[in-house]
Amino acid sequence: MKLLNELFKGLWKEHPTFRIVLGMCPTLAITNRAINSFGMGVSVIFVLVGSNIVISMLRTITPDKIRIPIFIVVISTFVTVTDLTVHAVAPGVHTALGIFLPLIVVNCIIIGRAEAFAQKNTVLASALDGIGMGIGFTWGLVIIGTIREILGSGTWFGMQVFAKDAPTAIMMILPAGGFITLGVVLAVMNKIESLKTEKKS
Amino acid sequence: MAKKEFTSVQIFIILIGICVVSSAVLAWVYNVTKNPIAEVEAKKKQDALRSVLPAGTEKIEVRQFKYKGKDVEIQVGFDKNGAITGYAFESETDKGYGGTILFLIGVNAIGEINAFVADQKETPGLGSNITSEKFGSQFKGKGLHNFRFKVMKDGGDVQAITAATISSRAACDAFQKGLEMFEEFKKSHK
Repeated sequence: MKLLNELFKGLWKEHPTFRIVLGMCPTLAITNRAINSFGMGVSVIFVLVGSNIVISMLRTITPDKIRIPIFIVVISTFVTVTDLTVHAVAPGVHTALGIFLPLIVVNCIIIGRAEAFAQKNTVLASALDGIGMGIGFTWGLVIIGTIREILGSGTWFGMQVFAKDAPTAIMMILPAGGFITLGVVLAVMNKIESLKTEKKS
Repeated sequence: MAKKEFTSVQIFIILIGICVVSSAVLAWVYNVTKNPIAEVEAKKKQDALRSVLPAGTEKIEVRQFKYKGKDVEIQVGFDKNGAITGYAFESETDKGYGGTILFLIGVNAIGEINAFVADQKETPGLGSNITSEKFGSQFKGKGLHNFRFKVMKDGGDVQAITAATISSRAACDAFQKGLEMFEEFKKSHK
């Protein structure tokens, strides 16, 4: 049961974007289209699970003083291996995700989970943590991407939502729209959370 | 959970060890994937060429050509009877909003644009619309003789993308330069 908790906590209770507020750079940078958000999310699931597993395996031989350099070496190796492998094996996927894969090196969620979780827990728990956090990150990005794409481009996953020539708020797909949407979604999440605790007490 | 204490020498060895292992893994993966990746890229280039050359192109040949002191390649498409269907060439512009944009432009036998693809880093959702059907279709069948490759704001015929005038201008710049280069090529390869 405790293991299942590791899987589910990333979906809401410790949601990486809205609760821990990590990985803000990709959250703001690539969410102007829902499909980009989804692509980034899937890439992160992949790398996060892999790096969590490796870092958890290395945890008994990782000296505290040099843990950060070790995490960075492991993560960047994993990202590069993933990038090359996907490029060679699944060119279609690489065309879609190619721009996101190298960006993951600088995603603080990966190193954040290594530091906060994988270095202290078993391989299985770390893998589940990675899956949960990755899925949580994905739905967070897709929500923001959906709001921004519908308001800013009038489409959703590339499908027309509003009439073709309807005026759209271009600001929403510019960086400012990212900050505004993130702020609004964060506020809504906090409101829901505070309503829930009120009910309990 | 009590962490084991490590001496300086141990720390030194562990860090070196991990770096050596990851370098080895990287080198191995790079070697294994090098050829498949080269094949994938070559195929992508072929697909791009086929997509911009006019329909009915069966065979593609490369012609070398000197233009403004530089070697450029022009791809010539032939149909099954050996008649020229069109040409494809690259044109680059540094006027983009997100750096250099590389266009692969396909024209028919008399130098009117058939289709193009772009390798670009323009703002997603705005400038990146230079690759959209809506923006691209206005260039089909247009050449230097019947079209002014400038946005309307600058006195040309090009309908710019809303809120992405810079990217639209960059595209015009690349088309103008590319087509001028192509005219020279035609003059020297009658």
